[in-house]
Amino acid sequence: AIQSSRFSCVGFPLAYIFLACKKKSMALKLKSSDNKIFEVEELVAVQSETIKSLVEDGCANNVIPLPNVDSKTLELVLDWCKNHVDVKLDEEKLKEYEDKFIEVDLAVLYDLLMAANYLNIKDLLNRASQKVADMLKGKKPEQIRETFNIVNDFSPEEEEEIRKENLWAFEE
Amino acid sequence: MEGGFNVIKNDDKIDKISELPDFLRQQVLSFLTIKQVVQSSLLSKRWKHVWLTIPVLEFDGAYFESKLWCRDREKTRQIQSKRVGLYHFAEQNLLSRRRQRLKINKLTLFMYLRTPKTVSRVDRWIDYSLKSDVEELNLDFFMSGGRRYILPQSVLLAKSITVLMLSGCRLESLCCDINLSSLKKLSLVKVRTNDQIIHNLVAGCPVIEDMRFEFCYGLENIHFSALPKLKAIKLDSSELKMVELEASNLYYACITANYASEINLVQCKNLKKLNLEAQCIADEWFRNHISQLPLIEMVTLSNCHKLKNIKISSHILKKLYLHMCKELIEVELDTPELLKLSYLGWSNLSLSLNTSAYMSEVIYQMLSPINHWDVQKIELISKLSNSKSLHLLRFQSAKDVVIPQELRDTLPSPSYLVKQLKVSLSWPYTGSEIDKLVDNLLWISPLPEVVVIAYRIYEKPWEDTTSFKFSYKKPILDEENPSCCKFLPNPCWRHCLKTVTVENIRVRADEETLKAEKETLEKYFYENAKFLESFQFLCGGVG
Repeated sequence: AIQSSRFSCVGFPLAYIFLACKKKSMALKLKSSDNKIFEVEELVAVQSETIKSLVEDGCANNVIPLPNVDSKTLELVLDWCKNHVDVKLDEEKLKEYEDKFIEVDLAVLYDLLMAANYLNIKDLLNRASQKVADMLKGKKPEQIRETFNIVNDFSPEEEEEIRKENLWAFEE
Repeated sequence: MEGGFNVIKNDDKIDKISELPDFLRQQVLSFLTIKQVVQSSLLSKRWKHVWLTIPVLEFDGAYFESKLWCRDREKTRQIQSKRVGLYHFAEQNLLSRRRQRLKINKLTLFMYLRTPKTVSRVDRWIDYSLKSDVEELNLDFFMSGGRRYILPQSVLLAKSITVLMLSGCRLESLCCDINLSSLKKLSLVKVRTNDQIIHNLVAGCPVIEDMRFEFCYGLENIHFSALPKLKAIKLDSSELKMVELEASNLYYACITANYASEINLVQCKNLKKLNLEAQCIADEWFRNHISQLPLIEMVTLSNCHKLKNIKISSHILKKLYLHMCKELIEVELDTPELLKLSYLGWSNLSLSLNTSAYMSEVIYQMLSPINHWDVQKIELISKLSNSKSLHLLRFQSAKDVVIPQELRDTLPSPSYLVKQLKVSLSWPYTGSEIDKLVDNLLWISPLPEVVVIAYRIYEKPWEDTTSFKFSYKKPILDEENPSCCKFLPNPCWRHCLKTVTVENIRVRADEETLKAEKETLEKYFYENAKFLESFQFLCGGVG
């Protein structure tokens, strides 16, 4: 009742925006950092908490710019969202999809991590983090450095110092 | 693309992982053991401090226990000192978080509480974590002599907790009101408690979505009502006597209560998945529930020994599992949307199934006597064969698959509609049995796309498989009504088989065995399929 009276007070313009928003709930336009436009259903896009709050604040009338996500990554992210929009999807099939989805190059994985974080899509963030973690699992620091091209910039003394602080974690 | 990290390209030799923001690297680290988390400080200067504020902490003190009591004294001493190191580290880390008011997303403690000192240590850590607004608390404790860790009351007043998982604890009589206003998921395993405490606890969780009570002692009567957010519940205890749920949005219920005398779920109008194992479930109960739960999609009934006749009429039901219900003799299904049916039982079942449903998967696990073929069993298989794939389990050996000739001569092939037939044996077949085995499988299912013979090595995760892929052409008949397909609507494989590809993925077959099998099968197929154009025999297994 409070809301409707507020609309009637302000009159036509706000009500118009309200209607316009309603109409927009069909499809949203997203713009990637390299200026490509993606038209997606709202239900798909609002799996991103970031986009969801934009929609709820009524800021999604025009094209939503996503300056931190390039088109290649956005396409992948939207594919993920499309496959997660229908909760009725078979759990086994969903898992199968996720496992296949996440089987990508390391560089793509990083992009997905950053995008999932920026767009705030929790399940994607978790799955991508898990994938990177799987690549670290059970490896010694030396092996991890090799896999991920990390350069050891500690002096032997500094390294010794760190080991001493938590001896229990370093000894075999 | 092949799985595993070795094939992932990382040619550019740029260290990108270190460029990820701290919280993303912490997110990655939070999937690792605490030992590896700490080791990450050694990677490079950019990693030195990242782990310190990682929001997910898992202390696995029990890891050392198994190694602690070996004969080697020096080794025992080393492990003891490592454990002291871990305890000291946990204490310092949790304390410093409390001081800095750093939030903890998840704390897991997995420990053997040997001495009162360890118990008070754990009390303290839990207290620190509560003051750091811990969201997920996962406590898994073990004590000797059947004792249990007494959960501090303060845990049950923590507004920050969203997930609480307790194992090996004790919930004492409570002197205060419980208030877990954010709790969404609760799991109690091997917890000593009583009905009153559990009901108070649940009443103090207004937004609870997921509850699990497994092997809890002292929990006998459950009556939960007014839980509008509850979506899933799992109950498993032989002590349960009564279960009554009123949860309007409950989606999944899994109840194992073999000695319960009463179960009532009719108020859970949105129930979609039901998994039941209970002696008290009788025909009347089932009829009553199925008619009052209109949205049910999946039903699993195991060891419901009072069930004799069940009848389901539903346009929603997609999956049905009937396992080891000893007295079950009649099943009537009018379920046009049914996709998956699994039956574990004897062949005396009378099954009637709406034929408009072409299922995607049927599993039939035969109970003894499995090596006995009769009209009844073939008829049951025939009724189970309105499906794309059929999986027949629990044959002992290849001999058990062989169907007596008089039955083959007098009955139609049961699985004419099946495209994928799989049989599982307990013993591997021998080379001389293979053609007979295949001949019988092709009688059961006379026009399949794929036939798989599997043998699972005892307690190992993998299966040895021999699979056959078939392709067909238009049937060519040189006699009017060949005897092999006199009961079939269309000619069988003998008149239209074009190609056969056999794939062996077998650990335990040597080259010689495979070679002999190849020759036997090649001969069999060329003799029986007159228009066969190609026969391929591939070995994918490790020799």
